[in-house]
Amino acid sequence: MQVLIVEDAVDTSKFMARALEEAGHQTQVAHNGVEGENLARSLNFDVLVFDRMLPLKDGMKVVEDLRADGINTPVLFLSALGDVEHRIEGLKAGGDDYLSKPYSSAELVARVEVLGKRVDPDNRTTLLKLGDLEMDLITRKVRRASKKIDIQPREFRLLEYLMRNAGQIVTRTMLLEKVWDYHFDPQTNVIDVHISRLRTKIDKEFDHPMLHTVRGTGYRLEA
Amino acid sequence: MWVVNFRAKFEKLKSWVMDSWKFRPSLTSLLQTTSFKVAMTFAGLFSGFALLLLLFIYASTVWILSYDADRGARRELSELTDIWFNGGVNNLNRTIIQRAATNSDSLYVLITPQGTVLSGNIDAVPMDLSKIDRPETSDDLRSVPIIGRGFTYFRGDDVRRQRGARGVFLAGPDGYGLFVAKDLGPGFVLAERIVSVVWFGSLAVLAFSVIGGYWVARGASRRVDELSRTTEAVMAGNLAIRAPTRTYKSGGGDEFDRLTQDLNSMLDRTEKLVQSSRTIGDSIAHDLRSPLTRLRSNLENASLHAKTEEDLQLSIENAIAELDAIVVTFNAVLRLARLEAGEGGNFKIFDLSETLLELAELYEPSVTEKGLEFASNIAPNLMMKADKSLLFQAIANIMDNAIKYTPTGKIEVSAKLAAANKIEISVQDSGPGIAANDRDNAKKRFVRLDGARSTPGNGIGLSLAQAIAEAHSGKLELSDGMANNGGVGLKVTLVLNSGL
Repeated sequence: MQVLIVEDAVDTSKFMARALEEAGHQTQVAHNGVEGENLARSLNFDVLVFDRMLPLKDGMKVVEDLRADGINTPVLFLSALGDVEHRIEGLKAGGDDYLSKPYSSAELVARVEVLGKRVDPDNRTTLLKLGDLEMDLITRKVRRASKKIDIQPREFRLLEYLMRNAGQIVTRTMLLEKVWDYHFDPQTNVIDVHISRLRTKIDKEFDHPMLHTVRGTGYRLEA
Repeated sequence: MWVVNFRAKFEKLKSWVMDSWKFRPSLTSLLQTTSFKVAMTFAGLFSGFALLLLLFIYASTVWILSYDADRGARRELSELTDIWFNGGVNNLNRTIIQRAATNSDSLYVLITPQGTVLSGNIDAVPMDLSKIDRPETSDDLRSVPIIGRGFTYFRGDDVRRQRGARGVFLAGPDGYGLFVAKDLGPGFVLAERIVSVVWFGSLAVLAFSVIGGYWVARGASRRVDELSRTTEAVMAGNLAIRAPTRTYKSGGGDEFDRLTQDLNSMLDRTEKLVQSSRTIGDSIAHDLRSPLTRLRSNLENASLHAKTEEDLQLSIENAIAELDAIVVTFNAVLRLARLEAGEGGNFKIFDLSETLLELAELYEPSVTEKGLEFASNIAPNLMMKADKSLLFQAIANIMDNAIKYTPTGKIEVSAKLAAANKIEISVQDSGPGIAANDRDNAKKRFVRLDGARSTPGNGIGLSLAQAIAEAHSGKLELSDGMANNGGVGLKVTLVLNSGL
């Protein structure tokens, strides 16, 4: 995956580039808004990572201009402003995801990868399949190895998100944001409990586990 | 000793005098005040208008009177000229004596070539008529208009009364001169009197305006001085000072009282904010310092004593976890600070019941995982105008606490409409509870009660929940929950105004 990193702090940008390269992606770094915009317009990238506040041209403004010109490369905003209002501003400007500083490299990589694999919104698939796990989005039925699995609505959404991002690491915060649409800091591991319930349903009685815990980071669903 | 004491007293007195002098507005500064300028402007406008009116009255009155007087004088003069030409000076003299005795509104003087008065009814004329040139030849006539108010009658009992009159002096043949004039009458006197009254009145108005303006300006500038003394003291760093207020029996006050009240409430707010930001700064320093110290010593320890790669790895991972906890605390403190600084958030109308059901659904597995029973008792269709994400954070904090501190038993979330526009959301647990005298303390920022110190946490959850409740014009109440296993349990209730 080709990733453009636009971040004015040189240390941080190096750290980000290294994290992404270690995950197997190619990166290019720009240190100001204008340079970032020019590179972004070359359309050589799968994901753009923009700091919100950049020298020469504000990151929000750059993304607004790109979107106005029909450039739809997925954008991940990074910002020191982490309030819900700031997040909404960023998404309104055309960002696809918003990560507030400080963040872990695993979180960054996970979000970039999910964005890079973003499903086509016009995709009308109604049946998700991963190995022997099947999910019908219309009848809302889940089967593994042809065995029906009884699943609750929220668990269904959780599984759907995991299946759409199969093979990718998804973090707890990502799940809280994308599945529950919450932006807050729970002090207890509410997400872990939901995952372990889901795991009981889809993995317990089968030959191999599909839902893996990635230590210190999050989860990954694999065939 | 006595001398020193006296000197000290003198210095004190002197400084008091100097101080009171310093706060006395100087004359020039008073003249520059708005109230004085307003007073003077109005006085000027009023006086100017009065003078204009006066000029108009005077001009029109005098014009009418003068016109009549001039016509009368000319008519009389032509009659007398006829008599003079046909009957000679003697005849004229006789006629004038006769008319002077009967006509009260006409003034006559007949002067001989030598300049003496031959006949007439006035003894003083504003100018010396004998000095006026007579024509060279006897056929010529020369008329000189004479206007004045210095004519003095010598007729009757009102001798020496000066009258205003208009007339003509006719320098005739043989060196004789005839002056005929018409009295301008009482109308003219009235006009004159009005003029002087209005003149005097305008001057009096001006004088009163200056005095009144000065007085008003002094009062106003005294009030302004009070206010500016307060603001100066505030600028110098004394936030506790307030501008002096007055109380009135009638209740109301003038605009200065309003300004003073506003200034004082602004100062109240500012003081509270400054205090709260000081407290927040202190609290952050306090609460972040301990984990930072721990972090630092762990890292130092690792760098000095780690023997294996794994030891080092473990230390770094611990350090990162510690840092994440610090960030969470930092975010919470920041949010709390914003709330207390009055940044209310994003208020929208939403279905609280739905949000609470979602929250119950999110937390239910965590509760049951711990072996506790979970119950939710949420009234349907509770609508509310609030910042949804803040409110959610508040209830999540309370839920987190309940799960953390309840070893066995049950947790129950309930919500109901307690009264019109009053919504009560409560989370009850069957844990050890909080003793009544510890409850206020528990709501304070960074306070962690003795029993909680060994568990992870930052001591900010409940105070953040309380600040969020207050931002929704509500409050957070602590009471006993469900008794279980020797504990009284805890019930945390958010009493909120629905804002609808």
